[in-house]
Amino acid sequence: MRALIAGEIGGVALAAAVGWLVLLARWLRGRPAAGSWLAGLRHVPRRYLVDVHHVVARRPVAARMHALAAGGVLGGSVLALAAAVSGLGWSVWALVALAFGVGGMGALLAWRRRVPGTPPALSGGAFLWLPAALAAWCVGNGLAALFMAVGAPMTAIVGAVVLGGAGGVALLRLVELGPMRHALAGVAWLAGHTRPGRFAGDGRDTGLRPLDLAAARLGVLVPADFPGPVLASFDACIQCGRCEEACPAFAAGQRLNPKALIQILSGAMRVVPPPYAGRPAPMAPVLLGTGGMAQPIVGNVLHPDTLWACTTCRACVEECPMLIEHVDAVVSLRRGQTLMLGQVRDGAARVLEASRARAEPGGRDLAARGDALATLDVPVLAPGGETDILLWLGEGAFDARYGRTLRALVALMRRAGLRFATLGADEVDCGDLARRLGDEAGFQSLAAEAIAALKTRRFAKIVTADPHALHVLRNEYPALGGIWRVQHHTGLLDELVRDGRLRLERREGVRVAYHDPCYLGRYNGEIDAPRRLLDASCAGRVEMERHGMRAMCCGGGGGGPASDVDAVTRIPDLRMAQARAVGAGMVAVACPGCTAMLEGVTGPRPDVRDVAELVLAAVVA
Amino acid sequence: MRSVVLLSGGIDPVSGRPAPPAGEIAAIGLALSVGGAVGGLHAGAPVPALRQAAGHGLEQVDCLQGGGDAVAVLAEALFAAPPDLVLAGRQARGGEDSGMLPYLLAERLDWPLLSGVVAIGATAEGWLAVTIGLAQGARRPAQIRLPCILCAHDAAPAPPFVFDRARRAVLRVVPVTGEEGPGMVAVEGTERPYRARPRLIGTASGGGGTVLEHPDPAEAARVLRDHLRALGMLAPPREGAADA
Ligand code: SF4
Ligand code: SF4
Repeated sequence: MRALIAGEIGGVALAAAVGWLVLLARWLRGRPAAGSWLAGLRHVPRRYLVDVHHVVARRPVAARMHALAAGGVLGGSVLALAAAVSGLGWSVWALVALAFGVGGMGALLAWRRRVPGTPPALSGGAFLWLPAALAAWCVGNGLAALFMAVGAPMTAIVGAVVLGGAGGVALLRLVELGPMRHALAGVAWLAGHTRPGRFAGDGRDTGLRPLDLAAARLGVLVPADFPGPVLASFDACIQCGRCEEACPAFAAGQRLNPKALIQILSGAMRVVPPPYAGRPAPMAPVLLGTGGMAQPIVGNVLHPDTLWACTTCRACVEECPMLIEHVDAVVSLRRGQTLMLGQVRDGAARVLEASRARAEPGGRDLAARGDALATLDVPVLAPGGETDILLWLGEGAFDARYGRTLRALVALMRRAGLRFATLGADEVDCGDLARRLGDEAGFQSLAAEAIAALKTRRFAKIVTADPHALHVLRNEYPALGGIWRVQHHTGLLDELVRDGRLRLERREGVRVAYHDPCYLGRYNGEIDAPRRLLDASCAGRVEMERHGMRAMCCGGGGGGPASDVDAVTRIPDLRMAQARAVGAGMVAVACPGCTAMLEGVTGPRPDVRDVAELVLAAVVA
Repeated sequence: MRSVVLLSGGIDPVSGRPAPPAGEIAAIGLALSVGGAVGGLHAGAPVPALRQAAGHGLEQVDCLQGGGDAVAVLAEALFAAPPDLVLAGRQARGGEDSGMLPYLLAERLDWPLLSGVVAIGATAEGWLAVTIGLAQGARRPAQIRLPCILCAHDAAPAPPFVFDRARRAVLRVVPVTGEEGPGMVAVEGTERPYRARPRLIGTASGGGGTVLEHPDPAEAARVLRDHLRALGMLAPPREGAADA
């Protein structure tokens, strides 16, 4: 009897291991992993138990289901195998039965998720069979263990083992069809995760990595261009739809659904991918191309609009329990399209050309960047010069509306007695837009010029009101040799208030909702300083439902506006509606992009003010 | 068909940075639309703008280095290995470019020239069908005998920039010893105050206007003058002035 149980469970485990090797062989056809993939296996338990569950736990119902199902299945199977092989006594079999009982409860909860109806973000299809397969495995093996413990007749045990075996076969089939694949692929992905910084230090690792522009193939055109672990990450998607629910482009009806995107990329590796039974990208025509490791992805199995609709807001990444890096995938694909094929949307082609010819995506004269501050006589730092703070103006400076914000900031810095200067006409674009649009060559040349300009001046830190510039200067220039302390203006103002160099008096007024810029919040984890400033400046701050690290994007990032992908509604309209829903009469912003996007919302709407403007209005003495 | 695209050491008028002029990019697009071998030709040293231009679709740019008058140097190179088609932009960008180069070159080679080309059609018996872009989006078909020089319209469709192509492009230096040209002519001018000019609200091709076949110069001048007067561009005739 023990041999039968050992054979059944061991056989299924062995088949799963073989299945894993088959998958691995496919992933290994991608580019080699950065470090040792194998050595990464030692990190898997911690990454799984701590980091994955940290995300899973945000949804208690799902977390409970997963803990019971995964814990029961794994614990029960391992214990049963041990019991069967070593011939331990009835008490161990009772323990096995208990573990499988727990797994069975997990199966029940898994069934409850889709009954009576499957929530729209969850996939149907093979997923509908998952609870049954889990239940068969747990009940069958659980009963077999129970029968072993109480010494039941052989026929009963055989019957139970047959049921468990059937469940095992079903689970194996579900590995192939997708629902159970996450367990195997997840191990590989967690071992070779391409952003190890997420598991160390402050847990943030958001900067894009520089591309070697001398490499033969730049970016990704075919699945084999992705690093192996990244291919595993696509297979690791459990189709939970959390990314889909968070995605602003999806909400606005653009042809992007991050979950469908990851499934398409997983399917792109296969000639006959398993059917996808989740929501597709809105209104994206189905592409019927054949996948394969050397088959083109974009235009063959993936609609190009999907690629250009992404605002790189990282909301999907923040929500993904499998810790998948959607934005990296999108940017890699964009790099392939932009650098190898020149296939970008018309508007994007224009800003990229202007970035090349004029070092400014809007094509404006660099000398005009400081015009917004013309009345304030902000000194321009000449090469060799020295100051305390280098004020990086960013692209927003060309915009008359954002000029008001910059003037407010300068007024506050003056009031606090700070010594600062700008680069004047030597400030080129930081390259954020070019990089997000996949033009790594354009980015690197702008970055090299910016870094060279900064290196000829001496200053203690850089301050900017533009979170995109902040991110690039702080997180992406270091890899290219530019290492400075870079601060967002809200961080600086918060410091000045804390040190008593600015005194604020709270103003009565309408309710103010703070809209977190993605590149300040999710990319840099700075969500508290702006809130402290607003609490000190305005009475009645309210929070929108989506705020902080889980805030919704304004639609302005990642070259979205330049690419101008068809949509049903506009992302900033959706965001403004969320502000209205909490009764906000004013939306506080901290980014030129958010300012432009939210001010572009037509009709009666809450006012849009930068945090700096609100602080200036509240400053006393 | 073998085409050669003339490239200048383009300088962006706003930033002063190297950048190919729109017309030259359009010219590359026209050359690619014809098919066959397409090469770039530049009178001067290899400069960064050439690589950028090549990114729009050229595998090789020959740089005629060694000085001398650009027209003479180009004419000699084109004469030595005559292509079927020479394409250029409307005007180079970088120095005091007058936009005369293609015309002077056509004169030197004794080839026909058409400017404002937005599309190239088929060849038949040594004639090339092209489409000329006129003001306000109007289009006019035309035929030109090969070999010829075509100046692209700035608004002709521009082929996309592909970094991979730009980095692979070969900038081949061809040493030349050209005869000294007239050199850079210093431009002298006076600054005059702004003078309001009447707005030209014309019609596109076809509508209105007079077509003169082989007119006699005086007759042509009279028709032109009357036309400009009708538009309000020229003052009406003064009393008593000899008006002929
Ligand atoms: S980064 Fe933002 S826009 Fe892009 S797929 Fe993720 S959620 Fe959607
Ligand atoms: S990508 Fe991540 S968040 Fe999106 S469906 Fe897959 S596992 Fe869920």
